[in-house]
Amino acid sequence: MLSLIATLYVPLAIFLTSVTVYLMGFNRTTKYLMTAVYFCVFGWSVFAFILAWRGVKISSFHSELLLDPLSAIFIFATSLIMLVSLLYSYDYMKEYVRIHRIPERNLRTYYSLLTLTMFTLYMVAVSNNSFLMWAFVEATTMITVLLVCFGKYEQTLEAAWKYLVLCVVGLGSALYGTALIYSYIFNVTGDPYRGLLFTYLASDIRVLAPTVAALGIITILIGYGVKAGLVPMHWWLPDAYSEAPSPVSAVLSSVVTGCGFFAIFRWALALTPAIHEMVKPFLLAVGMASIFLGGLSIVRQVDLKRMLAYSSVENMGIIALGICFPPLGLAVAIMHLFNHSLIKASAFLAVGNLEYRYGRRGELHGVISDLPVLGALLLMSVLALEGTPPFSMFFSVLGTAMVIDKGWILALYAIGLLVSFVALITRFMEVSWGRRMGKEIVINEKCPSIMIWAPILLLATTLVLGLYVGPLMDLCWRCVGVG
Amino acid sequence: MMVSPSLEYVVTPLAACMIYTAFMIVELRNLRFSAYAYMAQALLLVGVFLGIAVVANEPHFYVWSFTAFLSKVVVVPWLVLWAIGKVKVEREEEPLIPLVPSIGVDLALIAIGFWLGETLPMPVVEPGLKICMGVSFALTFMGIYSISSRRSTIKQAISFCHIENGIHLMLAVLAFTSPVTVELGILTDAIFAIAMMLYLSTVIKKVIGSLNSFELSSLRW
Repeated sequence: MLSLIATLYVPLAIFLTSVTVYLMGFNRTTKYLMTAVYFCVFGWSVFAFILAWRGVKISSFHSELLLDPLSAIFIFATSLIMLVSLLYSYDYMKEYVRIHRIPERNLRTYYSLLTLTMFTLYMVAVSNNSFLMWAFVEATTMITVLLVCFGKYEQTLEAAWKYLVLCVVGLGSALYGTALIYSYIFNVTGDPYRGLLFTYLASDIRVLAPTVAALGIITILIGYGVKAGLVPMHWWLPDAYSEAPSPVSAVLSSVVTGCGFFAIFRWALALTPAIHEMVKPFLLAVGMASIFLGGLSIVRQVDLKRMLAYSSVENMGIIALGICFPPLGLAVAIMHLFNHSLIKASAFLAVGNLEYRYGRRGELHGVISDLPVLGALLLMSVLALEGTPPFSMFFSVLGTAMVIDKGWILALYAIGLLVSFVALITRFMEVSWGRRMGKEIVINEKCPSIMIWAPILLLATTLVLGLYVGPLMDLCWRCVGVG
Repeated sequence: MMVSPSLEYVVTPLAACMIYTAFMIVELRNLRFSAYAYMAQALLLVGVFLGIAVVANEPHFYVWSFTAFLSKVVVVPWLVLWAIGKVKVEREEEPLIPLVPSIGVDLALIAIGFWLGETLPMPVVEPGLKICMGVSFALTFMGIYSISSRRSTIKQAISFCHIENGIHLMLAVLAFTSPVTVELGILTDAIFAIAMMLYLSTVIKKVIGSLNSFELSSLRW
């Protein structure tokens, strides 16, 4: 029964909700339906998190679908962020469609696509089949492209076009690598399922010839790296994050980009130490480049969302760096992805609140004098994002430093973090504490309370997980087979 | 898979024709002609699958050829022609690289593709199918070149279809044993991706009055 709930009933309920919202339109009934379904999925994700923490693994459909500690972490983050983004969207999107003169009936497309995004993300998490997982990662791109260009003006179309073209071409590379590894394993073992399922891959990947293994894994890393926004495949990311409506930016920057790394984690967990050594220089190079380029690019940005987007590039670099040092580094990388998802979503929603009030995302200063709660929330989110204690990100940033086994890599990592810390904090200090702005630029006097509570909820979760880090850390260790 | 020696005689001419159609897809400036060239290439791909199915007695490939015919010869060209009709633009904007140097780039990419196909230790590839790997790499590289050097969004969408043909051929040769649901999932995704690119092209034309993706440059990184 549990296996059917995890792999059939929950995704089916999400999918049917999406279809219902599209068919019935966005009204009071569908609003309640969506809210109820999102709450139920979140409740289920908490239960799944506890099950995984207690060592329970659930599989079904001949092990094609699987709920393990890694999927439990991802589902928990996804359902929480999607729930918060949905609640936030109710008021934010009302204003968004008014400003951009979008017919209100189009909101049904928005909510339907948002729910469909949750469905595809859920399926990415429970896919144990490498091809199926690829198909769902690709599907997340196509659905969120429509969300990015929901406004349909020049900038959103530019962002959506870049996002779509780069990701579909990049993910083609991941498909190449997946097919290559699958066919090689099939030829050696003669079993069509062995090279397909991640549960077998860990033992069967040993049969790969070194050149095929390196080629296959690097094409997979490039493919999913585009989705994750690693340098130099990150061009789409700042545009898509900044031009999308804020709740969509929150989802994109956290779990949609995260699903690229989720796929990389699935593959990384299957690698032998020898193959890992072969791909380590590649990961190290893109990881370091992402940390430095992400940090340095923040300096010249004016738009707050673009600053946060480049901070995402930097954090993706930290995760890539963690993967270089398995198994503990991999566990820390999983933890960092989780922490980053929650905090980045919170930061984007906080910026969305400023946008709601001031009608713009750039040239803002002295916000804290006008809006003490919003200003403080934004500053706290950014501090949390830079790994300041007591938020949970502190442990993953510190953990990455602790797993690095070479002095020069550690030194570069520390410099990269410092650059990004100074760049981001300086800019956001100005936004929070700078010269006070005049009253005349305010377009909305008050933010609805749910829009303030939404980012606070995410930030509070990371605070609690920072103060009581045990369960999350245990689960991350369990993902890599330690503990 | 038991590969008959005569397979090479069936597959090689079809694969060679695919390369010829690749030239047409990339270099023809008329979008409608480009779409027809793509349709011809898709038909050749179906021919390769049918050839393998009949000569090598591999029933999996009947399914592959049927799904490829439906998706690539019928649905995708219909979508492309619909988008061309919708935007009312027949000719693409002049690409970044003029015709003669562009043909040189195409030839270089084909040479690299075939070299990789010959030298990489790919599994499954029996002598009769080895040429398919070279063609697959060449189609993919030419598609990537076309998508990055052409300005028209519809031409970029056709180039993506071209890349997808290369990947499909490679999947058929390497991963032909994968369950049919996997192939269907991948094909559905590809069709959705192309449909999305074409839909966005029509919206871009409506909003900025042009299909030139280089005019989409208001965001700075």
